[in-house]
Amino acid sequence: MTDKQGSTEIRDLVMDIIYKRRSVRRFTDEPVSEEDLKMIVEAARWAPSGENSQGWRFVIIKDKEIIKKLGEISGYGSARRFTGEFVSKRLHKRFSGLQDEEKKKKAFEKLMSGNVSRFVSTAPVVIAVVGKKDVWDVQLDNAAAIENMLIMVSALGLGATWVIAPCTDIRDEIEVNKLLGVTKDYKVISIIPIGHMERLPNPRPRLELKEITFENKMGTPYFKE
Amino acid sequence: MANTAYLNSIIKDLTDVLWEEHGTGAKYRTTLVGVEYFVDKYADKLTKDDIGCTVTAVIDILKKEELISDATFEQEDFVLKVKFKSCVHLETEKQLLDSNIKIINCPCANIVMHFIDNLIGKYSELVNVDIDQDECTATICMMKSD
Repeated sequence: MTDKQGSTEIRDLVMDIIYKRRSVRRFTDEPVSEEDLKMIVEAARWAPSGENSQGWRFVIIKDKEIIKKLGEISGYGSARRFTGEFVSKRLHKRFSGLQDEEKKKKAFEKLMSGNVSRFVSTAPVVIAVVGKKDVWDVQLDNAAAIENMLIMVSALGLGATWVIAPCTDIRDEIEVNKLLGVTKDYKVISIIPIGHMERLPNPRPRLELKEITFENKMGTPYFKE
Repeated sequence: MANTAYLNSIIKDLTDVLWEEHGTGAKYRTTLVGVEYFVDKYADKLTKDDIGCTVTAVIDILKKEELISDATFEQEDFVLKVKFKSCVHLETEKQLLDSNIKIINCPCANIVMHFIDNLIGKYSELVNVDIDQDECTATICMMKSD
């Protein structure tokens, strides 16, 4: 424990970094420094994992062609999924609160175009998180590592997005595994495009604490306000 | 033939496990279920054609393998609806619905999608599966690959 751990100063600083984490999809041309990249994977390295298996590996990708291909796979992965959700009306349900029909139409078009994930191709660097299969829970362990990375990205004043689009459908995952030379004992879990952000996006809405915390059993809110 | 009811209950249980672990995302982990058998056996017999011919050819092999008694399909723009009659997996799907679990997977639809993707060059997505007595309708949307 550092002498500042537990202090109000550190608490507020950590919370501020968490509050300012966003899913950033627009980057400047400025490259991410080697020092920053090292800090990001160092943060991931210290995540918890079942039996301390540390079943995560990180492929740091700067090759423009590979990043472009990841953007393509992410794009059509998203486009396919959201088009399916449009046809099933799931998208309509998700956007039922949006009254402006023109805005709703634009949102549908954006999602169905795949651009919500295709932006990956514009990132100066992408870190692919690759999980070892022979651990207790490959997804949980790697999710913890990814969150550590995102917090560090925020602390460094950089931007990133946790992108699952190229790994959601097994058909796409197989393609990404081939692209990145992932062997049979491992699987790609997610990709994290990182860069200097053009601007800090507005925060997405969050449920209130009283809606998500309960006292002893589900049902009675723990926090009343 | 092995006990089909038992095999269907196993598929239902495995689907349940995936649903518990992945929720809605489970659907995307199962898009290749049932495909390998048909690829090994029929991939070199199916040729690049239009969507109608490809779907008809896939229906024929599904019938030949006695997984369905028949099937019909209709296409409107990028949406394809395939109605499978007396599918061997129908019982699995009914059991899933009885257990309040979404039908996240249709092996027959997976085979249709696989050959559409690989022979026509589309990216297809299973939208949903609707059951009506001894028929099930798989709704598939097909994206352009360019």
